[in-house]
Formats: sequence, structure tokens, C-alpha cells
Amino acid sequence: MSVPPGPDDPFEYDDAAYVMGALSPQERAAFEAHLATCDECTRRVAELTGVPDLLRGVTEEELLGTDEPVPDTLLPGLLRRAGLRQRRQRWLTAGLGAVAAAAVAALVVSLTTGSSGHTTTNTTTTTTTASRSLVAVRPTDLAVRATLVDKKWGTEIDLRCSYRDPGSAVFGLRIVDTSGHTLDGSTWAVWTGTTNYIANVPLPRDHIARVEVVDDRGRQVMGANV
Amino acid sequence: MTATLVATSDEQLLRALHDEHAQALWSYVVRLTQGDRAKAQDIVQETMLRAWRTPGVLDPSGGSARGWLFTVAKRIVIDEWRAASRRHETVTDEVPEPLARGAAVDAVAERAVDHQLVVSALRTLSIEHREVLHECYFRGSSVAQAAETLGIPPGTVKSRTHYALRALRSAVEELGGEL
Repeated sequence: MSVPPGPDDPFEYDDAAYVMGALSPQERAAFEAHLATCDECTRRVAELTGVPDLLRGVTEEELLGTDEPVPDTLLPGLLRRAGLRQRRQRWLTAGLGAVAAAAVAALVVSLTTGSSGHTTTNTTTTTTTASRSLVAVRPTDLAVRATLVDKKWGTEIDLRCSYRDPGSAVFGLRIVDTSGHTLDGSTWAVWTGTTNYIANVPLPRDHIARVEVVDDRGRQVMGANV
Repeated sequence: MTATLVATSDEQLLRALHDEHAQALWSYVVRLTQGDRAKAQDIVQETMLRAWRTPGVLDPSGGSARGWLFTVAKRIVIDEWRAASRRHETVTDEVPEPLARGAAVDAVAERAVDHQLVVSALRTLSIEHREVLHECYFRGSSVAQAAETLGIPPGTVKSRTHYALRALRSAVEELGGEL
């Protein structure tokens, strides 16, 4: 029979010493006998599962040392870089119209339909998949192919991003459902080369009408009806 | 030279971001770069710039941005390691299948970043909590031995270990780590 936990449980704080092996043999035996009758202490011990393992490999210096102070050049450099990016953003926005047509032509990939041959990480729960290349609606160095995988809990959207810019950028996912409502999903960062990003959307696959990628200001960069 | 000053509201935002998170982030990244302070500074700045440009990250109602910052910094560091290990490869127009050859590098990198994340989490603990972990975990002391070494009652050793491990767990989770 389990005893309800009381505020005066003498074993209340024994959990951590127990999992670290710091109790004496007598204390350990007493605590284990108590665990057999106390759900609360059993729960507390379970809460600490894996926590002492975190300390494996940590050195004494790492544990007891102090942090190195932040160099005083960090903040001025941060503000300078922020200023440069704002200026570049203004310039890019101004030049948008002129380059839009060329960029779309260069980046549009064929809008293919039908189920894809991509493997997914958990094929057992997969019922249908669909894969689309997103079509750029503003100049971008990003190309994305989205694979939608039906899951019991909604839809997994596997975004395979190819980024040509020698830097990095943050993008966000936006879903339009079949009623026309938009749902802003998570954001992720891409770097030069390819990045795979998997987003989970709590909507059934057949409720998703369109998948869009937005920039860090929430403007649509590309999209595809699915 | 043209001044490239950022708008006042943005400057306030970036200053606040710096004041709240720079110390923790800097310590984490400087360890990950093995003391390369120029590279660490670049990565910390880049991480903060991304936070500034990503909607919602700095929204106070969204909770602490620290986990987001740590995760982004970690990705940048891993990406740099990966780039160094693939120096001979070229980027093609095709999106390739996930690369198995990067897996070994990634596994080493993930272990290193996870380790440093735990160190960052430990540094948020009070010195009393760290000392009791030092005794009971690193030195393998019993509660009674730790009590004697630290000059505190055995019951205090127990309660401190109880709270220290929970604080460690919370800190790792807040920084975006997993148990």
C-alpha cells in the first residue's frame, strides 16, 4: 500500500544523494524500503533520471570556475553590424522591383505534383506524402522543396532548403488552410548549402491548402499550393 | 566614413539583449571555439542579430530568449565545423540526400556542444549548489563526508543536492538542451 506523501516525510530530500550514490549503506537500505511505500519519493527519484549523467565528463574547473567577462568590443560591434544590415535591407527593398522578374525566372522550379519517393523518418505512420518545390514570389537565394507527410497528430512538413547566398538568413513557415486561415509556424535558419528542416503542423494534411516561406519580416518569399 | 547607426528603438532592443544574455552566451561560445575570441565574438554577434531580426524571439510574453540564442549559436558553431570538414566539396544545384559522411563530424560536434551546454547550465547554479555536487559527485563523498568537509549539517547536504540537481535540470532545459 502506498502512503500519501506528508510534509514531514523524513526522506523528502534523500532523492539526489540516493541517485548520486552518496547515501551510506544504512541510509540507502532505509530509503529503498521507504520507496516501496512512497509514491511521492518514487516520483522524485524518477524526476532525476539522467540528471547525474549530465555531469559525466565535466571537469572540476568547469564546475567551479567562473565565466570570462564579455569583451567590451562586443556591443559596439553588434550595433555597427545591425546598422549595416538595416542599410542593406533598405537597399534591397528599393531594388526589389527591378530584379524581381529575373529572380523569379531563375528560381522557379517546376511545380511537380504527385507523391514523392522521399524516404521519411517514420514510414510506419505515413499514409500519404506529397512533395512540392516552392515558387519564389520575391528575389531570394533560397530554394525549397517541401514534403508533406500525413501523421496521426497532423502533418509533418519536411523542408529541404538550398541556399546560395554566402551568408545565412532566418525564414519562417506559414500555412494557409483550406478555409483561408493562415497559421504561422516555426522559424529556422539556413546557411550556404543545404539545410533540412522539419516542421510539425497540427493540421490534417487535407486541411492544408498552401505552404509558404516568409522572411524575418513576415513577408512571403515563396509558396506552393498543395 | 558613413556612420552606420541603427535606429534608436533597435539600439535599445540590442542593448537589452546584450545586457541580459551576452555573458552567458559569450561564455558558452568562447568555450566552443576553444578560446578563439575573434570567432566567438563574431558568432555571438551573429546570433544576436538573428534574434533581433526574427519576429517573436524578443517578445517578452514568449519567455526567455536564452534557449533560442543558445540553439542558434550552437548551429552556427556546428555549421562552421562541418564546413571545415567538407572543404573540398562544392555546393550543387541539387538538394542532396542527407550526407552520411557528415554524420561522424556531427556526432563529435553534438557531444561537444552538449557538454558545453551542461557547463553553461552549471554556471547558473549557486556556488553552494556547485560545491555540494563537487563533493558528492566528483569526489564521491558520502553525505556525512561532504557535511564535514563543507562544515554544514548532513540534512543540508541532502537538501542542497536535492535542489542542485533540479536546478541543473531546469537550467539545461532552459538553454534548449535535452536530458
